[in-house]
Amino acid sequence: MSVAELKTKLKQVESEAVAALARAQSSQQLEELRLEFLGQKGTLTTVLRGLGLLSKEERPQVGELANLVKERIVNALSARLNELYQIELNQRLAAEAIDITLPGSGHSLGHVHPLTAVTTEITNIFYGMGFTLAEGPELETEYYNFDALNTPPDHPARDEQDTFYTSAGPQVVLRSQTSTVQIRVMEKQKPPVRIISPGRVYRNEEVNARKYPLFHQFEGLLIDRNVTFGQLKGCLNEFIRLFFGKQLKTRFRPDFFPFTEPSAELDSQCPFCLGSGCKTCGHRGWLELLGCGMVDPNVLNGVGIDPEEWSGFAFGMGIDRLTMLKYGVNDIRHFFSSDLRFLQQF
Amino acid sequence: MKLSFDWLQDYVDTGSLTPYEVADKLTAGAFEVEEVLKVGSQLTGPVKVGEIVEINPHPNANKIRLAKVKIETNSDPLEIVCGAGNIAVGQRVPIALAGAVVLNRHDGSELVIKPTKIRGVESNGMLCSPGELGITCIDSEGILILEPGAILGSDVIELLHLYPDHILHVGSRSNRGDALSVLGLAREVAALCNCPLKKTLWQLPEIDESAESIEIEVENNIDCPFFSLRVLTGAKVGPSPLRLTRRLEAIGVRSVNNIVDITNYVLHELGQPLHAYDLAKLSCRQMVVRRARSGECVDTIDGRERELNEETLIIADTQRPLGVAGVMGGKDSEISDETVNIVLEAAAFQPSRVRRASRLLGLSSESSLQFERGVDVCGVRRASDRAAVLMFEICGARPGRLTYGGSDEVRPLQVALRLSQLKRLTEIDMSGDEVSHLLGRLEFNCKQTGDDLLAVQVPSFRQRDVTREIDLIEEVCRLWGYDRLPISMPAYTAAPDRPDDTEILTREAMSACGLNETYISSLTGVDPLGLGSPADDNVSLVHVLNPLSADHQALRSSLLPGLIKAVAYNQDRGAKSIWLYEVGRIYQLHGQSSARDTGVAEELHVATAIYGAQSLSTWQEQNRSAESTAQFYIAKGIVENLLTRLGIEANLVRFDSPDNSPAYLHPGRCANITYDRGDCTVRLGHLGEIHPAVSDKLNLRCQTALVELSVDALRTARKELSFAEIISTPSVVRDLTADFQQSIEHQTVNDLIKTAAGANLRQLDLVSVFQLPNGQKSLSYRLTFQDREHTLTAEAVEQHLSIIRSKLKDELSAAFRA
Repeated sequence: MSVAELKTKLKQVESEAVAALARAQSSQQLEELRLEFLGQKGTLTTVLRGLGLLSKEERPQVGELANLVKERIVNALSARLNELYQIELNQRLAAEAIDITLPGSGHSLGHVHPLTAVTTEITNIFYGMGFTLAEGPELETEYYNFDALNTPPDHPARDEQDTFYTSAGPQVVLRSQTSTVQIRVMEKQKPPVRIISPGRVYRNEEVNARKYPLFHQFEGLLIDRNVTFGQLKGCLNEFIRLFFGKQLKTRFRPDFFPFTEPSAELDSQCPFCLGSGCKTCGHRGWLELLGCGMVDPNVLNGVGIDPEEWSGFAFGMGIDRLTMLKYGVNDIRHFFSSDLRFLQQF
Repeated sequence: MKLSFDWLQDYVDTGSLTPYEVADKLTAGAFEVEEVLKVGSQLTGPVKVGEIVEINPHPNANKIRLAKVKIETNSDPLEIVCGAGNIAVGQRVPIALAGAVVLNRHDGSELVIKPTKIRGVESNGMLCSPGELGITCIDSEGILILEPGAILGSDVIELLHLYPDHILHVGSRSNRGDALSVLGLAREVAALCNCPLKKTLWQLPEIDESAESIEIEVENNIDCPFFSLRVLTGAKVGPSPLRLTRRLEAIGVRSVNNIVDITNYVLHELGQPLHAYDLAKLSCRQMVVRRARSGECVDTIDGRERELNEETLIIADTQRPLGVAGVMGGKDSEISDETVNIVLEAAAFQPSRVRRASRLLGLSSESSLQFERGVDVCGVRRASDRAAVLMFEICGARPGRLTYGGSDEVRPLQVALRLSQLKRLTEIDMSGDEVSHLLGRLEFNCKQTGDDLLAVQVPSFRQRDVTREIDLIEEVCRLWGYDRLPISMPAYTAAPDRPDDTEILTREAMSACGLNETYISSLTGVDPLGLGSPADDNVSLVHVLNPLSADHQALRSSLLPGLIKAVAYNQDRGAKSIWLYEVGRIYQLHGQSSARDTGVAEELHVATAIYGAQSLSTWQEQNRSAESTAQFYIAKGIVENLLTRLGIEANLVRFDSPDNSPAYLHPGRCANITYDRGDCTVRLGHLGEIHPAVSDKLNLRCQTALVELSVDALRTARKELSFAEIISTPSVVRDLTADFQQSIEHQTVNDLIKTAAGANLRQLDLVSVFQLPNGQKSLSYRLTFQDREHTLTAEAVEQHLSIIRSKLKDELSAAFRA
């Protein structure tokens, strides 16, 4: 064949191949076409064999074109292969589509009790203010529950109507407040002291929506040099801001506790109505949140801390009450019911 | 206590302050006002005193009559139509004239009086019933009949003090017995609102020196520092006048008769309980204040016989007890309608003595509540005088001389206050004058005795709660206003210790396993599951001596009974998957208690109960093959997860069949869990399936597995996590299957393979358990071999395996199938 004939032939092979590839409908057809044109016995290979019959001078003229043609066929093959893959992929994707609105399945996480959640939250706020955790027993001697906390021997709180007494001994009671931990810590640790102590406490009270014979308190104590009432106000204002996540007005009202002097009750503006009055705050606009005060010098003297050198403050709040407020729980008994319909809401 | 704003005005001039403003001041000043209630209505005159001069039948009706009522001596009587049956000629009655606004007695709404015709007859006003005048303490259908002495034509609204009032519910403070009365709160209002106290004076009528007097003997001046008696003669006992009953009614005190009402009135006004005896009922003219003798009895006014003992202080004559001092008087000597001569007691008793008697007898009264919080010894005579004046005015009783035992003198109490100390604790920088002025409002007398020093004289009525410098500082803060105290933040002096996180990680692991956290009461019944608990368990049980109910009479010694009950509770409410856990304390007696030691061990435990499959969404559940895994293994998996989370090495933890399993666990499906490091063995707890008997008793319909571990023990078994170099040589995996007798436990096989395999065995997993038809079981293990430095050859691995096979064969009679 002449150079011209070969060139014509090459172009003819190219156009045939490109057309055939474009018509191919599957990767298998493409493979057949590859063999038909590019295989050992393929059309292009056959044409190229004719190259050997050409002269040295003629060969490069056709060779250049031949390489080009081969490259174009290869490119067309790979482009079509890609196209077909896309088509097949799209078909597969369409076939594999599922109902994504069906519920998720498998292992579910357990629910955390709301009292744990709120205790953790309060604890973390006070960790941020440099307090550390302390724990004490739930059964206490009258010494820790009353005497060391400056409660006079005839104080009404000691009545059996208020406090549970136990078979462990005539002076062993179920602690009625977490303030007992204050004494245990100060007996062991020299100031400065900066502790918090969440825990279970007991009061001999009839069960109703607001009262349960056991509940949880959160105690705080800070003893250092030059601790003032203003610092107590500062710390607790910060706590209210962080716990409710907003700046709320607070008010400190004088109150009386045997183990603090001066003592105060802390009210915060109701976080739900911002003071305008709602069901949660009993239309008062204020919520009573906790009791606090400067540690009474008698308490400090009792544990061998000199009140002229050191001073401090303490506070205590009801975790159950804060939890009821936070989630709008209307009956304290839910907390101790173990009812999954309650537990799984948190 | 309930405080009448109107009554308060007798003692303090609050100027233009409203009851609500006064309430806010009291709240900000330590006396929380829980509620302000408006009582009574605004009546408008003219409502005048009239006299009925004639009564005629109504010409057109049977049930109503025509009354002629005179309101001025010399003018013509007015004709009034009246339906009440209790009117009679000569009575003085309230008459509302045209233009007056009174109340509709049916619904309390406003009723405007105008001339009107009733059944064709003109009526020129209305005779008023108590309800129409807003007086609710008299329960009467008829017209209010006034005292015969009421002056004709005078204003009834003014005469009966028919003005609206506000009742403040003031929270009482256990340390402030001085502020339980109108006078006491008036002092607080005066100080907190900075307004003047009124000097209230009353003139005791002439003393009847000839009246009898009672001889007094006080056995012990600590129990009773001051005891006074006064005889009043010629009293007319009867109903109280309206002005007295209305005030008492407004604060919730029931009217009895004028004498008793006066003692109650003075108690609420001055905070001093009084008691009145009928002189005629006393057997002699001598009274003793003494401790009761054991076995002595007294019939108290409430009609019950009370047995007394040496702890009770009583008032007695020479023969018998007349009453329990400060708590309640005796029935024998009480005032009745026939009483003519009265003995009035006014005294101060030791608060703790009254409290003990009240507790002992289970009897409390307004009087005992006041005495328990303390009375002002200096105020006893004044209260006695006040009552004598009222008894003279109201009952016509003539007072005799006051006789007394003990003394009502109070030693002056002076407390030093350093201005520097005030500043140190409160950041308030105040001059001596400023502090003196503030405290002066509370009747504390201050004198500056140095640059930094004030000498403060405490008034008698505050000597109970103000005895130290810090108490004065509190008073200064209170009057200055807590809200005005500066706000700051504490300085940091030390970083806090890092708290132990075992409890937190335990909860995390449990939640991650899909268990729901619960809180269960630590107060429980002695045998909460009704199993007839074994005796040895009861020995260490802590009992509550004064339980609320049988369900609260002990402290739990295990978390499991509570969880088992919780499972039953939820099952009965339709739950299909009940996965619960609790972290809480258990309590056990372990020694003698002392002043500082309870002798009780409290241990933090974690326990779980699993009932049913873990919750999966329902549409998926149907696609799952029915799971046959025993709940035991699911529970064991939870334990293993927890151990991993806490960094406790699994190979140091043993699960053993216990010799004595807890009563509520299946003896064939439970295990003790022990951590054993060789030098240290710690019992961690146990797990198992619920005992079928317990399950049946509670009608549980599903297999339930239980776990209880000591968090305190887990804490001791924890190890800090550390990194181990990742080995890069290839590993070789081989499976090994062998048949064993049923009695051979997996753990034994596992341990044997481990020892036989040597150091190159990296991992050993049980991959299948298969029950063979011949009664044996087939166990398949997957062994992963890896050498730290070299690539293991197939021959080396085969060598390991053949050692293992022969050991299993020799020691456990294992059979290997081809």
